[in-house]
Amino acid sequence: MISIIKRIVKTGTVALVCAAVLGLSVKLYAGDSTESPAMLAEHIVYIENMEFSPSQLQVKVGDSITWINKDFVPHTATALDKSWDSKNLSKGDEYTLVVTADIPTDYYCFYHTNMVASIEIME
Amino acid sequence: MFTSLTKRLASVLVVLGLSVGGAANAQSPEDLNDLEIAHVAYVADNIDIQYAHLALALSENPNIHEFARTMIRDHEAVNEQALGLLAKLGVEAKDNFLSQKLIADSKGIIDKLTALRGAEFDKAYADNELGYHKAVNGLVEGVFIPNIQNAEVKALFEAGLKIFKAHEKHAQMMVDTLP
Repeated sequence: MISIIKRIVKTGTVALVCAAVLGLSVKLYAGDSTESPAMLAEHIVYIENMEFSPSQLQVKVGDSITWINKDFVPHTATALDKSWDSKNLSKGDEYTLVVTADIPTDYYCFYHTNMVASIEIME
Repeated sequence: MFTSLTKRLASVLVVLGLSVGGAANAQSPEDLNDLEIAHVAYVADNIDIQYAHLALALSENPNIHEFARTMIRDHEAVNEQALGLLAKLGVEAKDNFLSQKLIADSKGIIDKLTALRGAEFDKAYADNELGYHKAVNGLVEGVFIPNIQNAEVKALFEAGLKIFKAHEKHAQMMVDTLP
């Protein structure tokens, strides 16, 4: 996850430099508040060896989470109340969810009900 | 000529790291070579797929249906991986006493399950799934994985074991929650 955030920062830095050269005004991953723009992160959860990894993930509203199935058996990432659901993820498939304040944070694999994990939304 | 070909095939398989020697007409799981172990696993997968199809046909319990669909989905995926690996290695799985015993035993179990309906079927199916996965997982973990010579075959069995252990837990939960 850190490497992904670093990649975003690096990409953003390059974009800012290019924009500055071109004399453009840009905002880098600015959230709703323009006064204190926050960096939004892209998190990745791997589904591998019949587990979600990491099984507990701290995120902020506006971040995105991408689940990638690395197992050769299909999985899902599904909220316990099913309000969000990746549907079937075969090997290599991905599903991305943008975090909102009200999303249910406990989830599981619909096919393998012992596979459970959670998201923690930080202030 | 046949002997010569056999020797050449054996030497190729040894280069691939596949154990093909084993005991002639092995009568113990410990004596099975890689190709025989692969056959047992393939047969065991197909047997569980058969049980699952029976459950879809006879059970009316949605949880049993979901479990059965997962068994079909996962065991078909494992078999696809196994067949792909054997094709890549240029070898075929080899029939043996244990594959034949599993098939013979499964016929008796299918006969018993087929005669049941409703909650009786659900309980018998769940109990059988738990027992079957426990037995196969014990064999894979305790005998097959330590004895497999080819690294890729071993890795596939190690990945498969994680899947089947998840199935065992799922089956245990099903047994515990059935009325």
